[in-house]
Amino acid sequence: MAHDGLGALEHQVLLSVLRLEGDAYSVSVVLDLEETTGRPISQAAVFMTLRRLEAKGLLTSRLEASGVATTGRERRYFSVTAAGMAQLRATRSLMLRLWDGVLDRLDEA
Amino acid sequence: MSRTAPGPRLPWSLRLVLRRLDVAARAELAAELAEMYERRRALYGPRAARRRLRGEGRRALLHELAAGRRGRRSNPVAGGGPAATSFQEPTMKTWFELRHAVRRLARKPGFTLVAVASLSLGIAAASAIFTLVQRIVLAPLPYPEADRLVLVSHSAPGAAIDEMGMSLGTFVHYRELSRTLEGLAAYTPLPLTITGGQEAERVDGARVSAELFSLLHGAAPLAGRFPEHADTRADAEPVAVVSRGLARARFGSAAGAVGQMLELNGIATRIVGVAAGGFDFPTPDTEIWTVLRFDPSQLPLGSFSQLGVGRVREDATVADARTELQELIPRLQERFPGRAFEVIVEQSRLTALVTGMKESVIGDLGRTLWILLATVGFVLLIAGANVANLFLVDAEGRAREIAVRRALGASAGRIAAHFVSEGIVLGLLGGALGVPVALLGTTLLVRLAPVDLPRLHEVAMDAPVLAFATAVSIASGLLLALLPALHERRGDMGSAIASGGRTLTGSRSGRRSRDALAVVQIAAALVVLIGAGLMVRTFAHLLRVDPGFEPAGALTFELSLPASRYAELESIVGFHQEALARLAALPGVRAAGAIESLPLSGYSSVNPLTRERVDLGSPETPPAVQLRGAMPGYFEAAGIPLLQGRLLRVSDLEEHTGATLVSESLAARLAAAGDPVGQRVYPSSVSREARPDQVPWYTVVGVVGDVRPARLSDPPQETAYFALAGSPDGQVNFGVRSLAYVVRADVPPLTLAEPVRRVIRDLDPDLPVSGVRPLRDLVATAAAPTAFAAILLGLAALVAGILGLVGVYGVLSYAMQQRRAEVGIRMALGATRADVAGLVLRHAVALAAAGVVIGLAAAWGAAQTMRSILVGVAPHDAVTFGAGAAGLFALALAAAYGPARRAARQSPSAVLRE
Repeated sequence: MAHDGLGALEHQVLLSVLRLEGDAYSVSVVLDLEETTGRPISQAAVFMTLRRLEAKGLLTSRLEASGVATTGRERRYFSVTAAGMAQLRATRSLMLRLWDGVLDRLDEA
Repeated sequence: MSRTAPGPRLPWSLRLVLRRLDVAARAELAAELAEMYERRRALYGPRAARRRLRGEGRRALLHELAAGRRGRRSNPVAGGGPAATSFQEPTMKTWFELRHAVRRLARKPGFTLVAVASLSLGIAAASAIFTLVQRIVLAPLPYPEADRLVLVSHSAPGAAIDEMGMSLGTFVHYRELSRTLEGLAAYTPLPLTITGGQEAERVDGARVSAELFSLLHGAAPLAGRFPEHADTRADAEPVAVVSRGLARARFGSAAGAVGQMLELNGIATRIVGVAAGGFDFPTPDTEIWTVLRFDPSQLPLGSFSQLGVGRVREDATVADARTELQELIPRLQERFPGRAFEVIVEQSRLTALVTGMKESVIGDLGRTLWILLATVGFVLLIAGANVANLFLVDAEGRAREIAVRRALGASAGRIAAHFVSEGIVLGLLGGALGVPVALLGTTLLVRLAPVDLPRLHEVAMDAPVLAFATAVSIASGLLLALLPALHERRGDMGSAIASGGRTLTGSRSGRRSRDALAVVQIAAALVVLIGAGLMVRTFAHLLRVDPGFEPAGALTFELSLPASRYAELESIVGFHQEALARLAALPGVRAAGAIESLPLSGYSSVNPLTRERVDLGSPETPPAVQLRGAMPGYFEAAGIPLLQGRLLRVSDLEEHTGATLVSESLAARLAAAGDPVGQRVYPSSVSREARPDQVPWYTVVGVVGDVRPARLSDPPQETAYFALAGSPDGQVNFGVRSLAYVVRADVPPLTLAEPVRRVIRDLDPDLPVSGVRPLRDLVATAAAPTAFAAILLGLAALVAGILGLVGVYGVLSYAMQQRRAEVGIRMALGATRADVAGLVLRHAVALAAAGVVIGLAAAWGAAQTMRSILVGVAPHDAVTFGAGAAGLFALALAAAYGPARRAARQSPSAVLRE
């Protein structure tokens, strides 16, 4: 589901971060996406994507100490910005228009 | 291999990727990779975890390479550019939506075609009729400040006269003294013969007072000047104004006509001015306006033959003007002391009438047109219901798609926008097709319409009509689209998705809506059908009315003898006698006669008829009757039956016997004093002191059948016929110069046209013969407005019927399709084909019954509004209503035929397998 401006993975990551509601870092996002899509996802790619999305202003991150116990360091959690929400809405509109008129065609023989 | 944290050995691909990050990020990623590795190792074992790690490296590398390329493309400018704009929600521009709607519609051509065809039909009909209504009823008359123009006339209830014009006496009186009327002019339509020089020509003209042009023409004349007060003096040179068309035809240009002389009805007249093109008072064919001349010191109070037109002052109303004129009537005595005042004003109870000019001109037609517009509104309703049904069916088919959109977050508003935009596009397409059809239709209507339909020449499509058509198109599109949009709001999303939008029985509320629309269609079609039926019956009634004469087998034409060559009474009568004798001698001719004016011509000449036995010495005014001068042979030629006594003879002319014929209704009145034949009468009121031997009596010699002077629907009027110039004292009482001739023959009437012209030409080569036509045309012209209305309503009924048929067929068809499974089950359980067909028929009958009941009620109300234009048939005529209801039932059954057959023919197993 690629479209202008954001890659397919960027989209998936953005949606996953939204779904995880503040609990999003590379591990949780990978697990979430692998469950949703049923395919293996590159963790490094997700990691890079998270950072790239933050650089684009679609995500924001905060460091949290909750992970110190397990990994010995703070974890960086991501959440979606207003701009990110706007981008997702735009994508949704586009999807609706693309699927316009053909939604029911997929059920025909 | 650098390792910033404890964990697995990272493959080289991963390490390459990691190197792109800064130190901190590298540490983070490494830690998170290690965390993931631990999780997997705990769940799946170390080998699986390592395998994942290796794969991870490959994927990360590939992804990074791809992302790099994409990144460079999508971010050509740091921090902005196209990427930035993609963040914005594309604004739901109407244009965008509409373009999409067009594409969607293009994908379902059947739906779009039927919808556009239905809409364009309805819009075309509505626009065409609205053109007529707008130009004839709504638009102001083409004169300056037309809304303040009024017609002035009188009634004389004491003499049983409903309407007559003004006399010169009353005209001058009002003109001088009225303060509510800003201007008052007198006019009389006058056929004119132009003689001298070129071949004699007959034109329509009018004799008008000088004020007419400043009142109605407004702007300056095209050439020359308008008549002034000085031109109206009795001794002034006769002057006239001509139309632009006549000026150009006769003199080459407007300017060239000024100063020229024309011999009009034998009188040398000078042209002083040319009217602007398009000035068409009192009729569009008027070409010459001669100026009324009179001696102000010798004004007659009586002889109400002038028609009056005036303009009401800006701050006064028509009612004010009428009140004022009525108050001025008693003051006539100051100007006209004596017996005349007594008889004309007091005894006859002279009453002033002032009516708005537009209402008078339009007359009954306004009401007919509004009725037609309402009818077309119904047709549009039926067409709209058709399209609404189509929308509903379409929406049901898209139920799943709509539900998915809703699930994806599209608001109800956006989904409604889809339907609305489709509706608008369909409406606009319907309008785009409908307007040219309307243009065509209007042109045809104007051509088919009776020639004397008021203001017909002003009818043309213009801006207000186009605006109307556009508004109707968009409005219908919007309304139709909102129906399924509202409908869908109540829809059940979950089941719609689950069932794939096609349940076994179809949504219940969907079926109700469709049925309701079909019922509306049937009801509306019934109203239109009944309206048309009533109009057709009126027309049939008019045709069956006995006009009192025999229209078939006779020819009529008009002759007008100019005073210059026929000054003496003897020469006039002599000409007519000789002409009739020669006409009667033509081969095939059975009778020839002439009369002052034909029946059904709208001509009225009314005067009190003094009866020797009753009225002499009586203070009461004698009754007013229609008076006509006639030549012997008229009644035989026109086919008016003789009921008693004898007809006029040539000897009545030569011996001045004073012979008179009375019509049947007048004879009934005379019978109160004994046998009508033999009674003596006088065609005017006489002085109360007169002695019987002082009055030059006429004698009634026979009774003839009644005729109608104006409309077929009017009651016959009491009429007295006098032999032209046959008065005992030799006085000429009637206008003998212009006569309508009637020639009855065994041969087709029009074959007589040339022989007739030859006869007249032999007698006087300078005398034009005009108005040559079969006598039958009189009846056709009188019935023409009704025929017109009947044809239009009939057309509307036809269209309504077709649309209704299509609509009901569609509803039944779709309903049957939806119930396929139920039918299959029934058939499997033993239902026969007849039973299945019966299902469809029952549905059809139910729809028809509901529609007919509603339609009858609506038609009842609607018919009341038609009361004023119906003749000979009551608004609640049982035959029409019954026939209409039966017709709609038949229509519903006819619509059911196809679906019933299809339903009965399907195989149950095929249905159940779906």
